Amino acid sequence: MVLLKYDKGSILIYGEVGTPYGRWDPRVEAFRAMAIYYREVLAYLERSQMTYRDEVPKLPPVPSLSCHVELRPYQKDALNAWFDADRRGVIVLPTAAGKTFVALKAIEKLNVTTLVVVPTLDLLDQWRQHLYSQFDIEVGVCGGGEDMLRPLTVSTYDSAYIRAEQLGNRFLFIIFDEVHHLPAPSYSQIAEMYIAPYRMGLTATYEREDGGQRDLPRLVGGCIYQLDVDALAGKHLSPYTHEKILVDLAPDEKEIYGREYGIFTNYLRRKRIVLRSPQDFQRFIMRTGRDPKAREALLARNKALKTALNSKAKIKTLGEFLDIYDEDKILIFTRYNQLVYRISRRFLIPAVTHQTPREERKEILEKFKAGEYRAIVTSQVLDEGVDVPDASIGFILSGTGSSREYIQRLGRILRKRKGKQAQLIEIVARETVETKMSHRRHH
Amino acid sequence: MLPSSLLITRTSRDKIRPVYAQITQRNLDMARLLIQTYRDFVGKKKGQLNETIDRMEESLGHDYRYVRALSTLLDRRCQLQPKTTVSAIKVRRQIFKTTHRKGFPTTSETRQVILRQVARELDLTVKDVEESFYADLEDELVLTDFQPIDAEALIKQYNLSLTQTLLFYSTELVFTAAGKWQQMFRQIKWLGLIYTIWRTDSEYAVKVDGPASLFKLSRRYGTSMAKLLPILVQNQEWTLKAKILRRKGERRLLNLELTSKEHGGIMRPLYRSEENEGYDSQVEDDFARRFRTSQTGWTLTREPEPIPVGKRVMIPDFGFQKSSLQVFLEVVGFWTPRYLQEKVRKLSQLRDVDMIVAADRSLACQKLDALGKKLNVVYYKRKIPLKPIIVHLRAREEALMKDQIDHLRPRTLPIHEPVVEAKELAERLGVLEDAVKEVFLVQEFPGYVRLWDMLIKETKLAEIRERLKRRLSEGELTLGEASRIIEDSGGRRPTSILNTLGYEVEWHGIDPNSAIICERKK
Repeated sequence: MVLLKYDKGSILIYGEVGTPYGRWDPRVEAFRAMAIYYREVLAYLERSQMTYRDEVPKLPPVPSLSCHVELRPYQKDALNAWFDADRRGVIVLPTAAGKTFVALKAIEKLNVTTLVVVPTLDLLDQWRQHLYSQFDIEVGVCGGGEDMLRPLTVSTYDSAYIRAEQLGNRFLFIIFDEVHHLPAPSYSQIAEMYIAPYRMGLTATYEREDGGQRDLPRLVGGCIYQLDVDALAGKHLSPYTHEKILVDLAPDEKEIYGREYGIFTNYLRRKRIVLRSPQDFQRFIMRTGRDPKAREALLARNKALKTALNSKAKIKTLGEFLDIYDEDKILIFTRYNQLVYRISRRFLIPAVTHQTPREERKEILEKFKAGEYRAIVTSQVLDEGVDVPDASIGFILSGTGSSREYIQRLGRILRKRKGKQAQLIEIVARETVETKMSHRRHH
Repeated sequence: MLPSSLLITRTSRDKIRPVYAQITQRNLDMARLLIQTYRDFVGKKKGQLNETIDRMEESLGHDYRYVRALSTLLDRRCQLQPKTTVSAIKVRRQIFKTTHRKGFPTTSETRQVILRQVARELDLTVKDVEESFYADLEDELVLTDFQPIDAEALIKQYNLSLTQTLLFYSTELVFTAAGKWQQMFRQIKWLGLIYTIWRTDSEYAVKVDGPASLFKLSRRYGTSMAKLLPILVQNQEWTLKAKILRRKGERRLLNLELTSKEHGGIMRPLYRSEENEGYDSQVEDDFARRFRTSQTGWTLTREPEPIPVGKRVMIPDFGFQKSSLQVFLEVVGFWTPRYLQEKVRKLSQLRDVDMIVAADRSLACQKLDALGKKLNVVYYKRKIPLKPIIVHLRAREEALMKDQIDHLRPRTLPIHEPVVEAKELAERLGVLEDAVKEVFLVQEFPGYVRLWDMLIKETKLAEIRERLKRRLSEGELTLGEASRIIEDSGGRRPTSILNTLGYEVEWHGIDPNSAIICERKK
C-alpha cells in the first residue's frame, strides 16, 4: 500500500516504491516528489495497478459553474487547442484580444477549484470582478493585504509564491495571466510547488529577453496557440498610428545634460569601457560598488537622463496636445513618478503610481472607464493587462528601451471600438540618449 | 533585513563574508550624525530629510550603501503623518471632478479658476487645496516622531541586518548553539523548514533547509533562515555555516562561516526577545521559581540540550541534574489533538530517558493516561505541584545512592591527601555526596579520623595538636589565631578539629578574635 501526502509544496510517497520523479529523502525517510509531478506520479501508480491512498489534494466542493461568455472563432480555436494539448499550455494572443474569456470558458468546462495568478493588484481586482460577474459566486483573493480562499481564487504572483507551501494542494486548475513572468527563479517555484494537473498560461509576449520561455513547456506546457497583432488589427482591434515628436531641452536643462552626460562619457573613455549590451551595463554597475569614480559617473548619467526624460519642454508640448485632443480619452506614460506628479499637479490629471492608495487607484480606473475622467497619467504600473477600454490617445513622455513595454503600452489603447483610430504619440528630447532609446524600442 | 541592493560583501575564492561595520570612532561618528539628522528633522517633511540623507551618502566618504542602510533602519523608527488634516484623496477627487467639467487647464489662469472653485466647494483656501493635493505622498509627509537609538546599538543592528540580508541567498544553514533550543526549533517548525541534527564531539550541530532543497539548490528558504539568526545570536556561544547561492554572472555556491567568538560582539539584536516566551510560560515560570527555592540540591535548567528521538529531537521544558542523574520535565499545557498526538508519539519513542510529563488536568485525555505506563505523568491544575516531582527526584537519588554505596563499600577509596571532605570526593568519583557520607559513616579508614563528613589523617591531627599545645603554653589563644594555625598546617573546619582535640571556645561577643580557647573541663 502506497500513501501519498502533501508536504509544503511537495508530495511525500510512503511505501516501498520508486516512482518517476520521486527521490529518497533521508531527512524524513520517505520518497519525495515536486508537486508539479503529481499528475505523473498518479498516472504511474494507476498504470502499474498499485493500490494507493491519495491524501494530497485538499479541495472544497465546487458549485456548478456556468457563465455567459460567447467566444469569438479564434478564441474557440485557442480553447480547443488547449484541451487537445491535455489541458496544459500557453495561449498567446495580443492585448485586448480577449484572453480572459478563453480562460473563463475553460473554468466553466473544467468546473474544478481554480487559482488565477496575476502580476498586479489592478489585475487582481479585474479578475475578481470578471469571475464574480460571470459565475455569480464569492471569489477568493490572495494578495494586496487580502487572504481569503474560495473555490475560485485570484492571487498575485508574489502571494502565490510566498504561500506556495500552504496553497499548493488546494487547486486543480491554475491559470497564469501574463505568463511571461513565470520563468523567473522565484516565480517558477509556483508552478513547481502546486499540484494542479490543469494549467493555462496567457500572454501577449511569449518570448523573454533572457530566453526564460524555454522553461515554460515544463512549467505550464508550451505555446499551443498563437495569433499576433497584425492578424487581428483592423478586424478585432483598432488600427493605430505612431508618431514621434522631438522637442528641444530648455537652455538650463541643456547645460545640465551636457555637463553631466560629459562626466559619464569621459569616465568611460578614460577607462576604455564600451557599453553595447545590457550585460556590459550590468558589469559597469558592479564596478560602481568598488570604484567611487564609477559611481560618480553613474550618478551623473542618471542625472542627465532624468533631466532629458523629465524636461519642461515635454510638459509644454503635452499641454499643446491637450488643447488639440479635447475630447479623446488619453493615457500619459512616464518613467519616473516625479514627472507623473508634476504633470498631475500642472494639468490636474488623475495620477496612478505604486504610491497611489489601492482604493483610489480602483476609483480612478473605474471613473476613467465610465467617462467621468478623461485622462490618466501613470508610471509603469498600468503596463499590463488592465482593461482601459476606449482610450484612443497615448503619450509616452519617457520610457525605457524595452520593447515589451512598448507593446504593452500600445495595447492599452488598442481596445476594439467601432470607428476608432488609435494614436500613440511619443515626446522625445532631441539630441539626447533618449533618442537612441526610443529608436531601440521599435527594433 | 535590508534591501539586497545595500548588501556589501567580500568574496575570496569560495568564501563570502558581509563587510561589517566595526565599532570604530569613524563609524560611530557617522551613525551619530545620522541619528542627529533624523532628530533635527522632526516636524519637517520626509522629502527634505531624504534629500539631506542623499547628500550625506555621497559626500562623507563612506560607502553610500552603508549610509543608506543605516538610514533605512532609522526610517523604521519614524512616524510620518500628512501635514494637513484635510483628506488628500477627497481634495483630489474634487479637483479631478471639476477639471473634467472645465477641461484640462493648459494655462495657469485656467488652473487657478479650477482650484478656486474646488476651494469654494470644500470650504478651504486655494493654498490649502494646493498643500493638501498630494500631502499623502511619502516625500510630503511630516516626520512627527523619531525614536532615537544609541549609535553603537545602531551599528550592531546594521551588522545583524546585513548578515540576514546575505542569508536571503542561502540554500542551507548549519548551526551550533549553547542554548535557546526550544525557541529555535519552534521557529524552524513554524517557518516550514526541515532540520537534520547530529552530535559532534562536544555538541549538537543542526542543518536546516526546506522540503524542496531535495530537488535543487534553492534560495526559497533564505528569508526563513535569516529569521533564525536573531535567536541564534542571543546565545553566548554559537557558530553558523551557510551555503550562499550567487547569481551575479555565473552561478556560484559560496561559504559563509561565522562564530560568536569573532562576530558575536559586533552583531546583537536590538531587543533581546523575552527569555520565556510561549503559551504556558507562566505556569513554567512559577514552577521554576518554587523549585529553586525549595533547596533540593538538584540543578534546574530550562530548555536543556535536545534529546534525539528517532530522526527528530525533543527539547523538554526542564532538566534536573544532580551528580550523574538527569531527569526531564515536559509540560503539556495548551494543546490541539494533532499536537498531542505528535507529542505522545515522540514521548513513547523515548528510550532510557527519565521523563516526567506534567499535564493540565482539565485538558488531560486517555492518550496521556496510556503514556503513564511508560512515563511519569503528573496532572496539575493551574500550578505544577512540587511534591510528586521532588518525590520522584528523591526516589531516583535514593536508588542511585543505594547502588553507589553498594558499589563503593567493598573498595578502598582512593584517598591520599591528609584532609578530604565528602563533597570533593563525591565530585572526584562522580557519585552522590550522600553516598560518600554514608560510606564514611559505616566504613573504617585506617590511619584516618572522621570528623562529620571529613576525613583527616591521624598524623595531621597530631601535628595540629602539638602546635596548638605549644602556642597555648605561651599564653592566651583566641579562636581567630587558632583557626589560622589549623589552616596553616593544612587542616580545615577549625571548630570541628578544636572540638575533637578536646578544646572549648569561650565566647566574649561575636568576634572570633576575642573568643578564647581553653581545654574542656572534664
